[in-house]
Amino acid sequence: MTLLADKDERFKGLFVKVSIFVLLAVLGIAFNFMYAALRQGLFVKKTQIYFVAPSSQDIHEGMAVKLSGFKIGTVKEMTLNDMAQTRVDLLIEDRYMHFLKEDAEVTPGREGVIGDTVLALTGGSEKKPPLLPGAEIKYVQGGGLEQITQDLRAHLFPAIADMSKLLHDINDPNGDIRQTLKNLRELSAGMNGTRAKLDQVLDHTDALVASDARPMVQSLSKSAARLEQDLPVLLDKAKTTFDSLEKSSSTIRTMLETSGPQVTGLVGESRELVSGARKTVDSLNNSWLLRSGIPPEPQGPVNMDSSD
Amino acid sequence: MTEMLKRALLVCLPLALLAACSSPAPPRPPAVLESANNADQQARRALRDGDFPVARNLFEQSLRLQQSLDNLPGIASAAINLAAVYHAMNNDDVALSLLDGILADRLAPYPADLRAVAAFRKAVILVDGKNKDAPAAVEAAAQLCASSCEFKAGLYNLRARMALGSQDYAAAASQAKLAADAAGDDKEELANARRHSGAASFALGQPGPALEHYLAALELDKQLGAPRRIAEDLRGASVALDRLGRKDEAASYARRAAAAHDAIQPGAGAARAP
Repeated sequence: MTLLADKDERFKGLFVKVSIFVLLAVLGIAFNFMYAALRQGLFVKKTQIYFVAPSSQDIHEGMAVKLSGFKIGTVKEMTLNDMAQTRVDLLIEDRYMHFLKEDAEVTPGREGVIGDTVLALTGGSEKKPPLLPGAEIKYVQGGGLEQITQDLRAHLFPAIADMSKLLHDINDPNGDIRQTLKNLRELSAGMNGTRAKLDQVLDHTDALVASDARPMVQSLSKSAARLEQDLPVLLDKAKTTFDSLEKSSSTIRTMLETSGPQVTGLVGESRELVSGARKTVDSLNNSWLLRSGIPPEPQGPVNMDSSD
Repeated sequence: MTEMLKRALLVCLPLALLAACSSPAPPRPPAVLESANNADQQARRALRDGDFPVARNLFEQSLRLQQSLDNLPGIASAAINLAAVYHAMNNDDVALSLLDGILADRLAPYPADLRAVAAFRKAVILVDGKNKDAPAAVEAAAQLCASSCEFKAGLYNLRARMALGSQDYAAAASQAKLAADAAGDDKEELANARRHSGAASFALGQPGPALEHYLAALELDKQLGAPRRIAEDLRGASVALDRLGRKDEAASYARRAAAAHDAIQPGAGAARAP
């Protein structure tokens, strides 16, 4: 027995129609899932590699792994190893594995300034052999915003500390800076007094020039005029003096020419006298009276025995 | 008047005697030779005073001046003296090269006695340095030494020293006795011979004769004023006395030897209490 009378023509083949509709819906959904899985690469063959990072910060499972901006794999899982470091397993699509060499490196990065975090791979050197499945690659701490912030902090904090110390020194009443400023203030105050004295000196100098220098200049002018008058007379006298000197030198030269041979003889006689004295001393040295008191000078080799 | 005559005689008589006994001055040597002789005399004084660097410079100056005059006896004499200074300064290589310059140049007519002196000095240096060529050098010096050679005792003493060094004590005693016999008036070599005899006798187990030899050497070295050798004699006497069982006397001699030794060290401190 049927619950509904199947008399209406519109309900004929209703079950088949509904079944076809549901089947099409299920196929559509399955197709969507399949399409999504294909898009996600679920059916692509992958190779597992790993790296060890000091921290799992900015890394999460499913995170994209990119090479030259193209996604070539994902983070499979993260575990804590014996050294309390993070081991991160990656799944890399096989078709991209030939780009990766033994010295490949991975760096955490970000897509744009505020984009998702990704792991950026560098392929490594061309000359190195290809990366094998299950191999470890090197992790390099990236220069992300956080790293830059940390670097900035490392440099900024000591600078701030120095500035703080400088300010403290400036504010210290007994510090060098305050003392220097104090000395400068006193110096400038003293300079005011010095300037007043300098002004007085300058005023006095003006008066001095007015009272003394002008008469002096006038006196000099008079002296110059007088010198101009007396100069010819003085020159005449100097000429006379030089003439007299020339005559005197001529006389001395004549005297020397006259007495020269006598001086030469005197020198020769002195030399003979010295020579005679030397001979006398030698003769005395050889006399029997003094000879005994003067030991003979040793000659020849120094006397040395077999133990010297 | 008589008094005045006596005074005049007292003044004139010595002057007359002086004039009568004076002989004409010998001719002065050339200036360069006189300079060389002066340098040589000053060098001898420096060597006697132990100022070896000054003695070396002055003997070198003398040698250069003698070479400029081609005075072969003077050259040989200055070279031998310079070698002695270099030996005293522990520079035996230079000393030997200087002596070889005289011995090796057979064509230069150096006086035979100076060649013998050079050979003797070379033997002394080689024996001092315990050089393997020392025996040959001693024999070479003996060949140059004629029968009346003044180094005969010295050569025996060198042989005695070599025998002591090679522990041939009987030969050392024999050579030292020959040296003592040949020494004659040469107190230095006689003292050396007695010292070597003392060492040989002690090594042969005869401390009594050894002591006698050391005391004889000590007496001679005191007359010569040779501090280093006095210290050696005292030390030898001390050891011989100790072997004879005279401990107190041995200790006394040992103290005197140490004092003499310390006193000749350059830069030594205060002298020890006697």
